[in-house]
Amino acid sequence: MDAMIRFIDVHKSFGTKRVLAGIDVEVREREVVVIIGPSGSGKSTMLRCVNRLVEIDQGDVIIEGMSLRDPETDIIKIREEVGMVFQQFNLFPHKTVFENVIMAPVHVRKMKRSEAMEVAEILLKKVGIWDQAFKYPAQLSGGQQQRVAITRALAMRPKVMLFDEATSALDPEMIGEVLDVMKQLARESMTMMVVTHEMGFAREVADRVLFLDGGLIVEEGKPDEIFNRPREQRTREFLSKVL
Amino acid sequence: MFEMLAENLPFLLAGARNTFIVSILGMVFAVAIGLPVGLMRLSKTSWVRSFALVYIEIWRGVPFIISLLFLYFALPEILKLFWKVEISQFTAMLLTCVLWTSANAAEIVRGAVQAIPFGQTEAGMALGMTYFQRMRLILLPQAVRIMLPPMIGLFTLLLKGTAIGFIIEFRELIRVGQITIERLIMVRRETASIEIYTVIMLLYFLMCYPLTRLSAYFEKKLAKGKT
Repeated sequence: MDAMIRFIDVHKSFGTKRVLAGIDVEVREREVVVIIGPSGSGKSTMLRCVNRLVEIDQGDVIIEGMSLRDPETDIIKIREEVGMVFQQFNLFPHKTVFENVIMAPVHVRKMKRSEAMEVAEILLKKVGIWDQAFKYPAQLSGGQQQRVAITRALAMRPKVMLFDEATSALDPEMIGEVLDVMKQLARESMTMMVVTHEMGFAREVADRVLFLDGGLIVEEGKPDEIFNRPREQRTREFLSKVL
Repeated sequence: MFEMLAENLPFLLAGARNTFIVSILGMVFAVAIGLPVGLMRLSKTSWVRSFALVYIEIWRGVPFIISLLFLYFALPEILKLFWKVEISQFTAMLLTCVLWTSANAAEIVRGAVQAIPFGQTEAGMALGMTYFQRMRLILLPQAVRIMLPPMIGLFTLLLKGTAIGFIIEFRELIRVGQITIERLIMVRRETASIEIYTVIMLLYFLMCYPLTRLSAYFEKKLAKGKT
């Protein structure tokens, strides 16, 4: 299978602080790649490079053959294909759940409003929020809001989904409902890059786990290899703290 | 007393009308200019930012009265060198209002847009929206709620500020009040200034008070919307 996303020697610094120090990795179509590592290791930054919320300093990221560093590349076209879910949900508070979901398909994808509404209804039913569709985000629980945020990204029919610590801001009792939606997506063969602290999720769902530390991929492998037989000392240390 | 008022009130109201018209028009143009200038102030491009900054600082920094005197007395002298134009009291007054108010409106716009969490911008970007789509669909609708109370406050300041128009003989409320008083003094009505200035104060109050209430209403609504 071809690589859907390819990181080539990606470097990024914020001021003098080096966050990514040469990331090389490929994400294949239909693959679920989970990125773990201590805070400040560059996980979120790595994810944000894919849709250029973070501009890289050196190296390149190739998405479906389009280079992020190529001035000819239309970043909008890439972002249409790459859905993202944030830690803080970032729903649009002045719009209802339903409007949140159909906004981008209508204005960015130029989908007919009626068509976008149909898509939104199907997706909201699937994540179990249809009965809340005409409420405002502030009226929903955190878990519900995050499911809406996932739906909003899915409504664009993306080829890749990025999850940036999607459950970190949730109360413990709501983490499950969001993880369930993510698992469902993985079963439907969505290509996913997931930054998370949920090791159980990583073990169960990941096709491949990347362990990041100090802006580098220290170790990568199948969940079984990373969690049960880590080769690197640093991976072992990290896992002993979080498991 | 009532006879005197009945006689002079239409004239005073005409002055109040001029005050109101120049303020409303000034505000409309000021918001139309202040919106893009305020957004330019937040631009990623440094020369755009600098341009907006210079515009804002000049017209906020120059006293109202100086720009008024300059526009009315000095500008025609300069323009005369090139072509024949006249600047009426109304035009000078309106331009002054627009310059000062737009600079202040721009700062309100900037502050309101900046108050929206950056996550909103990121969410819009991640969904593939352009700068203008993000502004129109996400940031401005949220910012308008924040802007409303200070914009209304700015409008009342402007409304009262137009009083300065009397120095170029612009017939706003104060100027017509003075004329009325002079007229009454000539017919030996000694209490004229007490009466007329009281009426003027009342008229200003009547114009500003509803706006203050409106501002308070929006502020309350805004506070409620947050929780």
